[in-house]
Amino acid sequence: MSPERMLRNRLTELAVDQLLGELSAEDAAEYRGLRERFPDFDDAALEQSVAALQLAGDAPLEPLPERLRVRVATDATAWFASQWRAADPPAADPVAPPVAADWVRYGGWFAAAACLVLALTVWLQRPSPPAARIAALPEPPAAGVAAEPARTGSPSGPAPLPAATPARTTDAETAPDEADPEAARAQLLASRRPVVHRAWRAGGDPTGLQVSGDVIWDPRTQTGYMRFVGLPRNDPNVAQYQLWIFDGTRDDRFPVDGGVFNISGVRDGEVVAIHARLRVAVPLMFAVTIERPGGVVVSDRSRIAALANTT
Amino acid sequence: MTQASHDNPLEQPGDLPLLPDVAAGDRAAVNRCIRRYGPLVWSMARRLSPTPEDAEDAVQEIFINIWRYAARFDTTRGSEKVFVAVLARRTLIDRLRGMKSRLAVETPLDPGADAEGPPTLRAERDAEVEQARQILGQLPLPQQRVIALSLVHGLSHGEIAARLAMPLGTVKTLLRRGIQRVQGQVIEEDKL
Repeated sequence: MSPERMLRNRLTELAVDQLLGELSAEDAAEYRGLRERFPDFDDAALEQSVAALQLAGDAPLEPLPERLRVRVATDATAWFASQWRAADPPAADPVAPPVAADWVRYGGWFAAAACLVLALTVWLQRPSPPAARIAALPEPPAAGVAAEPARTGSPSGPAPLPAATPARTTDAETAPDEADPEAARAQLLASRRPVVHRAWRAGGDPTGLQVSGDVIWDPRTQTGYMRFVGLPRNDPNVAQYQLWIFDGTRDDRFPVDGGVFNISGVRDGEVVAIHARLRVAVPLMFAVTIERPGGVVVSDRSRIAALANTT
Repeated sequence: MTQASHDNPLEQPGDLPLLPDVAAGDRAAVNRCIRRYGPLVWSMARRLSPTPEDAEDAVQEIFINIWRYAARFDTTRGSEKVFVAVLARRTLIDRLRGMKSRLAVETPLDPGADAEGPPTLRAERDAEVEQARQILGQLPLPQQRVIALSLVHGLSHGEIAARLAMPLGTVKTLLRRGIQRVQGQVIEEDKL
């Protein structure tokens, strides 16, 4: 056997290992090296052959359980609706085709998904415990959070709370490559990858009455950024903001923790990186709550500062 | 195609592909797709997931990937069922890598035992799978067993080696050659 053939066979063997989830850390380096040496190597064809062989094995098929089928169908409703919204054409473009066709195509998805989000919203804003209702009254400023948005340099802005600490952006787990979330956000938007891009609105707590800005989320890389305008700075020693992401594939009682963060109030438009603790397949809604320092595992949702629906 | 056939998860060969309509957001096509490929995806997830709960999560993730990549399906490059199986396998392997654990398969470990099992649903046949099936049938029995244990039943190379009392290297070689045969790469290594 020629050395060339031996190397190609070795590459195939490693590619098979990789496809079957058996590639060891040591072999991974060799695999990468051989892939560079043989750029014509067809991974996709190999993967297709593996799948065909697997199907040829005629393994017995079990019917999909009905309750799981319903969940998959519900996911589909949410996913297609979010795609329709993500693909909204710019309204100001005079040469853009009318959106009526998209309405016809996706209108049903949107209507069905709207029902899901309505249910989530109602559930989020369910009657709060007494303490939460008191906290929701507009008079007392939220503990640890300025009652009005802080704007440095604004002569009419409220005086900052004495203990407020100018916070950079997120919690201590900020990844090194996210040290500049503003630049990372701009880069993601410029990448033209399909992202979920939605506007913040007030969530019911007086803290967020003037909130605006947006949230972007890249489902492929599971990264995202929040930009806040009008969200008051907080004293991290008293309270912190926490993001929750409602995933259409998960039980809505257990939204994905998107990370604890602070708002410095240094300027409006502060950008905060999202740190989702779990994979988010179908982001239906983003919610920012006010929690004790360090955040909570399960929020009582008594203080919702901001919401962003994706449908 | 009749509505009745749409509701039958065992649609017949020659059925029109659904994914182009799925990519266009056709709700009826999406529902037919779930019915057509649900059993395949669920069965694969059951074999390659550590727990039934994880299998359910995997099925949901796989179908999201099917919706996401439906537009990439090209009828000239292979069958729809294989496309779905590729996406399902890729998702399941990614999840396994993430868990860093190997599952204990819940199906019978002996490929031959399948024939004695209940008359459950069987994967429908299409040209691409039929070709693979023919090639598989021409392979020596030990190689068929290795391929079945790995690709159909989800055993690791090490588990197969232990089960068949076969060196690990031999398991890998038999797998590789079998896959290459399906790819159409004629292996005549002994003559080279």
